[in-house]
Amino acid sequence: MPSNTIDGYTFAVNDEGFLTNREEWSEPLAQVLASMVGIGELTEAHWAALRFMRDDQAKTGVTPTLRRMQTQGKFDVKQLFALFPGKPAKLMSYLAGLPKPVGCV
Amino acid sequence: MLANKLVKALPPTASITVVDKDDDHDYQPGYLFISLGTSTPERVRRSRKAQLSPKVELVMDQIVSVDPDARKVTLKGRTLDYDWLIIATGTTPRPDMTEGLTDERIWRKSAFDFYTMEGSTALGKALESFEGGRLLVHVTEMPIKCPVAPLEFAFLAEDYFRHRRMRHLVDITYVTPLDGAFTKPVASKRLGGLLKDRSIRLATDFAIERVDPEKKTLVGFDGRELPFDLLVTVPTNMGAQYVIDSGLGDDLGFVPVDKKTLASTKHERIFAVGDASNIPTSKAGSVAHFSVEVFIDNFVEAYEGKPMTHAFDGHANCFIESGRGKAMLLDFNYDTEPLTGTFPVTTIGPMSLLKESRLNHIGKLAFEQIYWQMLLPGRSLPVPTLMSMAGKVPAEKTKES
Amino acid sequence: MPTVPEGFILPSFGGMTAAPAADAAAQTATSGGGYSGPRKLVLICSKGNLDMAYPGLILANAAAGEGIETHMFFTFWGLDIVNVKTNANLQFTMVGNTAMHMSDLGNIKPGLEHWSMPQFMGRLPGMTKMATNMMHKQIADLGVPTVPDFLDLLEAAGVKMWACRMSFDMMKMIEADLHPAVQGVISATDFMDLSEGAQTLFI
Repeated sequence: MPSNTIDGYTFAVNDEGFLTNREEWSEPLAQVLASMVGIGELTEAHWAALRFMRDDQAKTGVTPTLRRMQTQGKFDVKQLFALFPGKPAKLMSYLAGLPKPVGCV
Repeated sequence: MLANKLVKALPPTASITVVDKDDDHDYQPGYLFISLGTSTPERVRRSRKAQLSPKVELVMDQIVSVDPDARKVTLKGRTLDYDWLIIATGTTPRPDMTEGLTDERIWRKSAFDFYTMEGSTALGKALESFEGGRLLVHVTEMPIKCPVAPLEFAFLAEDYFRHRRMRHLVDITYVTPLDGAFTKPVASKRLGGLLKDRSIRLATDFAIERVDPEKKTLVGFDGRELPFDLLVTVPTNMGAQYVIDSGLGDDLGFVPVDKKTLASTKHERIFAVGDASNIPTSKAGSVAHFSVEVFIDNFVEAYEGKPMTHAFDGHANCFIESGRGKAMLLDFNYDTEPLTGTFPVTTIGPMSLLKESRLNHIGKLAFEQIYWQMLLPGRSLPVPTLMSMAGKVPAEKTKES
Repeated sequence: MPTVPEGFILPSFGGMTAAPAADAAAQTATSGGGYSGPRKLVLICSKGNLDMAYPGLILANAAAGEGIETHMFFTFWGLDIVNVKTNANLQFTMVGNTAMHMSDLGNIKPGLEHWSMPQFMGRLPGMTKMATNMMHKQIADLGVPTVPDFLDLLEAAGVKMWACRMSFDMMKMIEADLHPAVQGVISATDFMDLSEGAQTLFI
């Protein structure tokens, strides 16, 4: 199992680079990763989404899809696309230290 | 109607004079039907003199100004003294108040009003030759006379084009300064739903800044631009010019009155009845009618020097033609918004409130006859003057549909 | 942006990471004609049955989620998908579809889950309604939204939708009935411009 090291943090990742152990995640690490992928400074809006994803995944065992974030989390999908441009679902799960969502929607 | 009833209510020593600019008395709800080809000017217009009791004097002249202190009314040709003055000159559509609307490139060519005989006749011709495009049904600003009329036009126009097999060639939008299809919540929802059902777009919160006659576009203060091929608008409604000139009214020219007694709050011995007043309810024929019934009783008391004991509750009762041979009915007053239910009797009705029905439609058509035969001559209808809650479903219980 | 340390595995977020130049160069080399830019996907949706509405919607959603510029072009019966008066009532019939199987039959006798439903059954009164309801349930069980909700989701995700001029006029449709996500009613020629350099799929 490969692992990444940055800024003093070390964590296990899969071949694609996603965290494999959600316990190794922390908010400061998320901020470091966000800077590396070009999101920059994480605002309250970003954190709200990331925290919801972690809480929901803890309950259901799977990373929530964008659709679930809309129906359960009451997030505005348009806003999520603006906060995490390009590949929002992938970016959000990466920054939340969770695997990529599996569902189609 | 007021004059005819007063003749019966006041002692024979009273002299009643009606001043109006000409002999043409129009059944105003008919204008809408003229524009859609289902009525004619001959049906809508009758001699004014013929409607009045012979005991009432009719003076045909234009009113220039009123001097409330000297109790004089100055006409173009003469002056009249009065002991009591009742202002019933209604509201006038003022297209000149909107920049660009009366520009000769568009006025009565692609931009119309249907609140005047000339306007509705011209619109009728334009509709006949309309080949398709964007139709905007627009309200400039509130208050207007008969707030449901533009909605009726939208519904009936939709029907009209459907009959001519060209509905798919016309894109209809209802443009309003309000935040919904109507002023009050329950009705706004029902009417908004009806607009959607008829595939009529709704543009709300539109405060018009001007009309661009070159581009044939409505321009709003918020920057929104709505292009049109045919514009049917309700211009700003203002009180008669002499009211404004004589300082009797507010900045839209309506006379401020006590909402219960209709007495002017500014001057003694002056009352304002109907659309000419500023009472806080729709400017509707039914309001004028019901207010007159209460007003007569009050006026007789005032005339005899007694305090006025009757209070008008702002009762309004409006039919809304919704197309396809049906109509809706609204019944409300100062304190109660239009609610669903039945009218005038609980459950039996037979009219349904805020719901389309063929019976309502027949009611509206029958009304034309009732107007000429019963209301104008001063005969009473078996309908309660003050609004009754009988048959109504309270707002909290109104189901979401 | 801090530099990525040696040996650090970073997922690809397409243009978001520290190597955009290489991606762009690769793009230009493979795309023909005058288009060079981010990946573009165009879906032509021509069917109005419930089962054939979903492939387009799901692919569009997946593409939008990956940052791909996605357009949907609705033509002929596909217009029913974006017509607010019809899109809540799309139906499914097994008539003409020999690949319809009922997986629950496998509980009665193993192997029956691959048995094709006989065609005559599709013509029985009430079968279309039953099949439609069954399909709705299967879709809902997977957490996939209804067609109207799905369109709202796609609109929020930035998918652009278009209606075909010819079929629109043929069916005498009313523009006010189109879902708000539809940008406009365009001709086949406009569509050619729209789909330049894009991966185009016909559904």
